[in-house]
Amino acid sequence: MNKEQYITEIMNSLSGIQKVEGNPFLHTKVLARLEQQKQTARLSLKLIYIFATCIAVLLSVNIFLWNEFTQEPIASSIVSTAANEYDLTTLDY
Amino acid sequence: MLPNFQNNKEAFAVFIQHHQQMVMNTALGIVQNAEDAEEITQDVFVEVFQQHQHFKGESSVSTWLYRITTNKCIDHIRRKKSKKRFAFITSLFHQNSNEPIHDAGHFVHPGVMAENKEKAAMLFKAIEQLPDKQKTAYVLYEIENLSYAEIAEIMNSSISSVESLLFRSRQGLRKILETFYKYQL
Repeated sequence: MNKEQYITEIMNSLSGIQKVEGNPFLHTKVLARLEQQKQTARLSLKLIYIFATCIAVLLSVNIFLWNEFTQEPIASSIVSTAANEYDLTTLDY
Repeated sequence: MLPNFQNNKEAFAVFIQHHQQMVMNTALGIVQNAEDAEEITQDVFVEVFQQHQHFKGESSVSTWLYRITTNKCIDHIRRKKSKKRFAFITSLFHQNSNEPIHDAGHFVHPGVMAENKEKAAMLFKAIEQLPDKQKTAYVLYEIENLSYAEIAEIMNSSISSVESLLFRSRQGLRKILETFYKYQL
């Protein structure tokens, strides 16, 4: 067989090609896949909520601790105010 | 316009029954793997179910379905190619692994006549090597028997560019088949 004949025969080999039958259970499979996608979406939404809650808790704890350790003790601030008021901070009498 | 499939499951079942053969055959021609084509067919109908409101009726339902199918096929081929590249790289690090790097083997289209099976397998092997657009146009024309105008609408291009794509695809196939012929000698 020469080259031209070989190529032509191969190029024409799709003539009379028949359509392939579809899967009779395709509808069920598609519905199952849709349900699976819904569940995955629900799960990822749940994970997002859990993650957001964790972040919120951590942030609140952080803010609380920050406030606790950076504020001046109330008692000492009252004492220093009173000392200033009655001029008790000077050493010259 | 399409019915709301989310409220009408029966209409969706009828829609699938009516169009699945067209979607399946197009996918099979492009991806050349029955399992992958089945998966793509499912993906197409999942998208139809979720996005049916995006169909405005500017083109026919079949054009819209062909467009979704061809896009999904091209995405699938690209993903598979990148997986193959990754498998090749990992195989460099696992020289003792006996796993195949890529799936060899010739695709035999189940709809091809028995006497043409061997030649059609060679043709599909050549089609696989064409660029995505040429491959899509060739499959839509030769397997789906669509007109230039229909292909142009599906591929969002002009009739002349479809003609040019088909001309280049035939030329490309001839070149590939020439190399097959040389190896055969």
